[in-house]
Amino acid sequence: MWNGWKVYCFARLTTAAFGSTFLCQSSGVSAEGASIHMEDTTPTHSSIQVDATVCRGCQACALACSLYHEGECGPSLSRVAVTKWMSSYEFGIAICRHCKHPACVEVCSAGALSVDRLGFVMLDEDVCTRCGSCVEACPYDAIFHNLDRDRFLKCDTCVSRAAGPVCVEACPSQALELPVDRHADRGSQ
Amino acid sequence: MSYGWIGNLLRVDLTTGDISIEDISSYFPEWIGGRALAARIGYEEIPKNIESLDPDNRIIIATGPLTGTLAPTSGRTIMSGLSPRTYPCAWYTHSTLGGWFGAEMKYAGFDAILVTGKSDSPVYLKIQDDKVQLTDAADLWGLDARQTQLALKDELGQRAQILAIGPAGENLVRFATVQHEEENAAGHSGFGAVWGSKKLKAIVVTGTGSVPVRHPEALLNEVLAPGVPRKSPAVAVLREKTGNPPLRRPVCSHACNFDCSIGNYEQVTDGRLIPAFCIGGIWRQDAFAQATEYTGGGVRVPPSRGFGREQNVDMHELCNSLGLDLWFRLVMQPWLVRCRELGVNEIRGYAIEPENAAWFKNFMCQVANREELGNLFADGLRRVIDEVETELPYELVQLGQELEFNFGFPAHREGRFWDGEPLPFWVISAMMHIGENRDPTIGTHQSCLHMAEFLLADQKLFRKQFRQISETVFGVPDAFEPTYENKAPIAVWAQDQHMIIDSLPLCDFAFPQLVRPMEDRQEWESSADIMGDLDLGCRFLVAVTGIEFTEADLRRAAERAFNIERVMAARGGRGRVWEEKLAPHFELPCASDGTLITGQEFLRLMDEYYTARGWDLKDGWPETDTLRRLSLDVLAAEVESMRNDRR
Repeated sequence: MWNGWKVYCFARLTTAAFGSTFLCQSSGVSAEGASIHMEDTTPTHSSIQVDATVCRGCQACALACSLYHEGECGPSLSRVAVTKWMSSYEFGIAICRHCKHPACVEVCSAGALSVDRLGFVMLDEDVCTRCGSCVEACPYDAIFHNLDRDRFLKCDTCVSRAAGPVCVEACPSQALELPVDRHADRGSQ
Repeated sequence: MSYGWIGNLLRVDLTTGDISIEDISSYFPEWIGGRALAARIGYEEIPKNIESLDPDNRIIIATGPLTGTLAPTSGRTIMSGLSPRTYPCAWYTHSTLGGWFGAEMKYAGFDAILVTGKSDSPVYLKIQDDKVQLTDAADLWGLDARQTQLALKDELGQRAQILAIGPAGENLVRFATVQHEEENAAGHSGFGAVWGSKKLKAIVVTGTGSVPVRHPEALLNEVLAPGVPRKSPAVAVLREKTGNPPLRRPVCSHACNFDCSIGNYEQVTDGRLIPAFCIGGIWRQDAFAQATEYTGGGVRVPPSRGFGREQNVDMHELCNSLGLDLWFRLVMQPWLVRCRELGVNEIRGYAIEPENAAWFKNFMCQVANREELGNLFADGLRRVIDEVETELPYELVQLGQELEFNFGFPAHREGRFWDGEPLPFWVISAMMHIGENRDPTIGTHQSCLHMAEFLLADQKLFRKQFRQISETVFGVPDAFEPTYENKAPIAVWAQDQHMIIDSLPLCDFAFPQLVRPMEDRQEWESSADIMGDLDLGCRFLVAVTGIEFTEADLRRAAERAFNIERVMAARGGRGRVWEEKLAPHFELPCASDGTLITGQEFLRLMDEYYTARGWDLKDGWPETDTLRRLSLDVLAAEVESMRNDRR
């Protein structure tokens, strides 16, 4: 079990690249040196906005996410990951930014990843062949592989939840926020 | 599928190196989890007539059914075993700590960890889901608690959750902590020394599992309920409305999305931000530290000397890194200052300069390393007094005895030193001191003792509002009236609530919600009814487990566990004879209202409390009928045997 999701995430989350990526906050500016194209990976205007500088590390977002989607609480079943660096007392939040031109969609040969009519990147687990290409391609380390259940998990902005993304609602510090126009989008659905 | 509980105990024998996983699902739901579960395990596991540093003592680490879930503040973890701190000898106590360790334990697949034996050389326990191993810790031994955790995180990743001891634990300081991150510790009961005696430097856990929830929507609805303020209820309401945006505050625990009134960020001199909570907050502010001042009944406690915010914060961090219980400063520093005031400038040939920051910092290191003067103080002030009694003026002896009057624990919320709870709160506190295995007050903040702040702020408003609360909770209007009579039901209720929140677990700064969370003093003053939501914890439990617990079920479970703890304390010698020795402390006048009781009146409080608990008046031990009513017949036989031995 140890070789599961966490090993994978630890390997990624503890790298300098992770730090520079996710401590860059809401600007969407990518990690220095990461092999991604700026224009391609700019978050959509209406995706969940991240400000890890105000994160307190409570994990309420990850717990609410896994509870809402899976009926269980645990980071391994969440679509958002929070990491704390004890040495500096800083936090990082990994969650899909729904890039305007998502690299994950491009590399998904099975067509399991697609962009919906509101511009959100959606994963169809039934179509997913579990190749893992999307995990490698994501510049925000925001697609997670739960090895125990061999499932790939990513944020769907709780598209079927009338009140909007549950992580945003659970966050006590506004580290995750949904722009106003996103609510308008939902209203038109 | 099991909801809330995993059903596994991880047993580790440091002597043999044996590691096994045991099915404890039969303990649930009866023993709930956390502190109640730990008591159940401890009663069976810990041999009688051993000392705290005996290899046969156990380290018990327990989680509850809410641990790892979204239930706010459920990231508490319970540690228990025989304590090196208790005076005059060891008995079973517990500590609770915040943080993220307990949740990770659950995700790894364990409700509880039980460590026995003693290793020949330093080791740490590495838990990666069901892969568990003891690993050489020679390279870690000697590192402080922060360095140890950083080294292990470098190796295993940032999400690894770690409990670790610093030099204080390695050197068997009786108030050594087990540290988790920078802001959490199992502090009061000295379990760091138990770890040190076993050569256990750290436990590291990573888990990839999860906690299934029976009614996910119900839990989400409780947690996300619109319009319900997410904040710890008391104290915060005494703040004036400022119009400023709310202060950003840290959290200390997994799943805590509350605005914690006692948490603050501080900056250490190297620029890092660190969180400070409760006693950590006291360290950082000179005004708080100086509030130790007290004069009455021939006892004078001088103000603790503050060192300025920057120094205070750095020393607070040093204290955590060394693995010393932060509370030591609130008793040792004023005692040492009083030594100087009375012309005692050295002890055993060592100069004392408690108002000098450099000296005090060095003193902390000496205590943690058991060097020079620190070796004497590493056994706690109460034992220092025994050691140097004949070398000091009587006033210093008396002061030392009173500062740690509670069987070696620092005086806390007993109405005399520092907190100054007025009548009736110090009477309730006194009763809790009589019946509890450790400092009883920390876990009863929200169920009782923090309510004193309302009384101190506005007595008229307090009496009006708390008559309503009293009627609702206790069925009588005068439970919180400032009298000496009929306070045992409140003390017992508050202790049972403490047991419940330690077992679910939840944070005692947020639960139980005897009063509702309010924004500020203005809201409080304009509220006719401030009754809180006392069922909230129970509703979390029902949502997570799917079992229709009632508050009465939880009270019974709490009472059972409390009686088990009592019997284990009795094994260590606790009972009426020793508890009568608490009386002189309450003959000192209360700091805020000057009230006190005579020794004779204290004996009446004892009778009232023992009776309310169903304990006999001779020994203060559970009556056979009480234990049978609680289906604890096995304990009844043991207590009868102890009674016979005494005769």
